[in-house]
Amino acid sequence: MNYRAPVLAALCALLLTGCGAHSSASGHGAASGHGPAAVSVALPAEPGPAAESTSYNDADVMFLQMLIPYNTQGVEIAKLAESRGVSGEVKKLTASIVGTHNEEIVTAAGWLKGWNKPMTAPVDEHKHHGGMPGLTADELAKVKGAPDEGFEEKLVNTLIAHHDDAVQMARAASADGSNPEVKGLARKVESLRSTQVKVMLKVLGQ
Amino acid sequence: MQARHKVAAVATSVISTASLLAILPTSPAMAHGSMSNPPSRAYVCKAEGPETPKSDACKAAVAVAGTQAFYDWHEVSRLDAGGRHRQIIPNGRLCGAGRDKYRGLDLPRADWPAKRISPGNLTVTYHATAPHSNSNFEFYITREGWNPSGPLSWSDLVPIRTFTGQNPTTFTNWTINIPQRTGRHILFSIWQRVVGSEEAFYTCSDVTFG
Repeated sequence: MNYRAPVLAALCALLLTGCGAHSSASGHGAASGHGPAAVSVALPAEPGPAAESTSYNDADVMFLQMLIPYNTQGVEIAKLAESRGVSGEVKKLTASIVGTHNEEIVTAAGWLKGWNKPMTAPVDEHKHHGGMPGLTADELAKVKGAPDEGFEEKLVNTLIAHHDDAVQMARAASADGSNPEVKGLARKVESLRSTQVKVMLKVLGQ
Repeated sequence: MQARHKVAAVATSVISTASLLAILPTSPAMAHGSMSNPPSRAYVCKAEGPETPKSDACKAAVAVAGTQAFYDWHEVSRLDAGGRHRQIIPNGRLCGAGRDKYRGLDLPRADWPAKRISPGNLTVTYHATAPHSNSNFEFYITREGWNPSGPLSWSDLVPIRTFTGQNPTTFTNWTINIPQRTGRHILFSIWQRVVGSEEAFYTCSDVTFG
């Protein structure tokens, strides 16, 4: 991913959030054994409508700010199925994941925009609220580079892990959030991901 | 639901028409910790290498549930715990915090790499990649007679000691008093954050008595 660094660095000037966070996170990465991962976040050209309720708390905002990059990565993982030899069932499931993840990004972006909040959060806030899980660039590259034999299992297990992380975030938002629409979205995320995990476990014969 | 229609209409073009990019750190900020001595199952398989597991148990865990659990060895946690461990984690799922991502850690097998220990004082070490102050650490061991080839249930755990009001560092040591046991057992820990988060971390360290 090194080739992207100059571009991303340039864009830091445009987006005040995330940039300082990136440099301060590098130290953590070294300590944790993870690389200083960077995830590019694609923001919708056209965010959804603002939320009806203007009452919200930090947990609501945090959930939406985590959902956007997390779903962006989820889409990237799910799209790997498009060009690889996987079963029709997995192709169908990953296509559905891409669709619903993108819908959620549009919704979250619209609500954040309506509240005049940044689309992503500084890393210090993540620390307070349980942090931002996800694959590092290296881990994602290993899934991408996996040989055909066993690729489907690797992809499905990676998606199960990614979904399971989202379930944790959604449960925290359901418990700590205050905005009824965000809490509704969190419940939807938890329920949808949990159902899809069950389907994926079945694909794996578990 | 006017909103839904709008969402559906633009959803397909979300990524391709992206107008901005942001960079975000991922796992490093989430990193928390696990038992390093005696090492937890997650710590053992992480040390062997998620892509190159060496022991049969880690090979089986990766074969069943993939590698990501071991890249994220320090996140065997529940954000919503708040002390309700026994309500939110079903029997047989204790080592993986009841999470599908970590189900490989729950494989009931008697060949998980185990550290030889003896009854009496034992110094244990927790490796916290992101230590959180105001935490409680609880330590348990399986009851004499527990079947290491079977699942781990809450009723199998005998409390050893709880340390409250802890402010862990990257490597934190405690001395606990291990009771008489024979054969293979599990040393189980719970790290419950107390202030500012409901989050709790769970570890299973396999041990064997001479």
